Amino acid sequence: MTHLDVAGKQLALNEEGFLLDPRIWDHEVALALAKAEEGLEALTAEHWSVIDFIRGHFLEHNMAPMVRAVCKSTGLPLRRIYELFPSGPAKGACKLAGLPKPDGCV
Amino acid sequence: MVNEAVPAAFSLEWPITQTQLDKIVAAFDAAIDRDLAAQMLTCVHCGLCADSCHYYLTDPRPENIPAHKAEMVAGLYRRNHTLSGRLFPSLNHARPMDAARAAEWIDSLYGRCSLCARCTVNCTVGIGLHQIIRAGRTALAAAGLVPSALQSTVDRAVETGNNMGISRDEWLETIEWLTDELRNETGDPDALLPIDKPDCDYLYAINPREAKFYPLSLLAAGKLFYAAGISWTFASDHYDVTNYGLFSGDNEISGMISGRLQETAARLNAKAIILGECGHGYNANRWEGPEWRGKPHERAEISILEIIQRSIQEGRIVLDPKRHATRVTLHDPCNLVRLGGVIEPQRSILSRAVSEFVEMTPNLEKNFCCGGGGGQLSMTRYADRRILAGRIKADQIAATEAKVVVAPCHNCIDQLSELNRQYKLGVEIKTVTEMVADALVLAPRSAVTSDGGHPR
Amino acid sequence: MDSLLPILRIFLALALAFAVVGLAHMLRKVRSFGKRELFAEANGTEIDGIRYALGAGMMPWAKESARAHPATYVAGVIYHCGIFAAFLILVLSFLQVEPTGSRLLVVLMSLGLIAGLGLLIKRMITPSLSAISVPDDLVANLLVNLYVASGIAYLINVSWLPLFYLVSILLLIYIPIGKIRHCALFFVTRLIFGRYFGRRGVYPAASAKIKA
Repeated sequence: MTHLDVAGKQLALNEEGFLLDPRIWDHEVALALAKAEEGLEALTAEHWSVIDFIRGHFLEHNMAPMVRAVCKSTGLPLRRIYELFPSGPAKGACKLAGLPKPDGCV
Repeated sequence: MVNEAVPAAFSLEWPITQTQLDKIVAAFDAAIDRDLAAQMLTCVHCGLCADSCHYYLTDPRPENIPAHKAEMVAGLYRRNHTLSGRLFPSLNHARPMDAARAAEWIDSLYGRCSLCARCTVNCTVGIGLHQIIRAGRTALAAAGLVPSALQSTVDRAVETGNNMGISRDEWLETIEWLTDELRNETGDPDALLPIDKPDCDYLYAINPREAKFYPLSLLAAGKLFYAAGISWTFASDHYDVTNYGLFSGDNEISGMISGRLQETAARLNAKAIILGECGHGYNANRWEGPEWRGKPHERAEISILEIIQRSIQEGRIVLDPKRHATRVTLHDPCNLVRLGGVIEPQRSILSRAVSEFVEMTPNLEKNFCCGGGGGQLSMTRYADRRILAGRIKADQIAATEAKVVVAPCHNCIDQLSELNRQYKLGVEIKTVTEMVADALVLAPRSAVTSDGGHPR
Repeated sequence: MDSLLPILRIFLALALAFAVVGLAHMLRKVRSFGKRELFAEANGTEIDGIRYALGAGMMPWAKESARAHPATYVAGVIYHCGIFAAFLILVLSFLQVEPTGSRLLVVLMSLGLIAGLGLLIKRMITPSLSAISVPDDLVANLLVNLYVASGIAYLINVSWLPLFYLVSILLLIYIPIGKIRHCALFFVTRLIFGRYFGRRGVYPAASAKIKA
């Protein structure tokens, strides 16, 4: 298990870098995760639109959204999502949005 | 060689009760047939299996030796079913089941094995080590000792019909969206990704991961079926080709999940089922499904690779290999190749779809596991071991100097993508279907009959 | 010593009977777990798989485990040849037939003994191997080495026959108890292996496919 330092606080991450407690999350956490887990130094408006949508969907449905829903709500083409998050929608975008790791082959 | 990051010790996450221990023993006994019994008495501890295991090769500790894992299970058999095991238990590690032993089983059988069976084909005797290890998992599953992340993937499939918990509406919306994309790509306003269409030749089962996060492979399959004029349909309810019961070890649940595809095909009156590119899904549905269900499948289950190969051979689709000009290599998923017997179609397809194809070494039924099988991808707690064990595959890929790795298995693809990043391989990872779809030369619309059926 | 021989011969016969009955009991017990009926449609044939398992699949080049460890593979083969030679000697002497070509057998058994000792040393000094070893491995190896050694002694000088018989008696009694039971189970497991991969269309198909 590793830790993520965010503004003096230490957040626990699981073995795959997902937040252990998905409730503790804000943009600062997302930024720190982006740097530590995705190698992204900064997040653009496009990144934020994806992350905030996924976060909102998670809070409402307790689940990651379909990538279709991400494209539809953000207006971004699918291939752009893959470009924005090198580890993909599940291990990249969902992780940055503070979600637990989704079930299945991911 | 030993990676300090991987903890040797493990903690007892569960307080294991006597009731659970009794369940382990009872379920284990129930899982034994004469073939398994014979194999559990045969190991001579020659140790030559060690080098066949990607866990041992990347972290050479005794717990990672296949014989160690299998003998741990076989010891319980000897303890309870042989006179010498009862009289002289210490002679041959015929230890009884207790809480500490159960914890060791969990750590080794779930945490140090991807059920890839590479040890089995390299065993000097030919012992089905992977079968013994899975029987151990079956026993643990009966006692509710499956690692939680693996169990929740199984539960999700049982409860929602697919292992990612995709709702019916979400699935239908995604298909609708992909249908629009298909029409754009083919220029045919009538092109369709059919759902619940009755009386087709095939029901197509996919990995829910495609629908949820990586839908381009669904589009690729749709395009290919369209071009080949195949009569097929998706189902609105049970379209999931995966079956994590194979990995958890719970045979009853496994049989129930595998039965769904057969039942759905019956409901839609589809003649056969196409299994999408999913290694364990092929093994679980095509081979193990009938055994779990205790009856032959009413409808044949065929890998999509066989459908593509046939389509090429019959001239239904035309490919332009120049579209893939860089060097391409192929990963052999364990459950599809070593355990599934689907060996040739992917090679035949790639020989027509790409310009330069190189094999990995070793390959075919001796190929190394990517490290993502056996439920490893889902079990976060063993993620560090999974990435470490995957180094063998990463080295294999790097040695080919290929730019594209084709893997006919979505489970492998996810692991390979992680290896790609972790070991900086700089390759592209694709399914066979995607490669074929990208090389597809779309015939004029008239080549396909208007009902989407076979041009004859 | 010679007065002991008739008694040892009786015990040898009894030990042989014990080994045979013990192995038969073991196989019956194994069979009692029942044959699982298979329902999946076969993709290859069991017989082709079995043919591979007992033929080409036994060759050293068929398995990376053997290819990567040629010394162990060769030692294993020589060890077993020595053991079979010693068994031949035992049977002949029991039938009171003078072994012919004994010099060749002495060489063969001596090589087998060296191989057996070599494998024992390897087991003790290789960390991975010693980690998976159990007392049974030591007992079985020592008994067999002693058995081959006393067989050699007997071939050189017949006065060692009582010792050869004595060790043989112990060995025969041990067969169904420990790992030497693989003398019977090896072939059973090979058959199972061949059937399993044969019907799945993996063997012999894969071995015939284009290699890299």
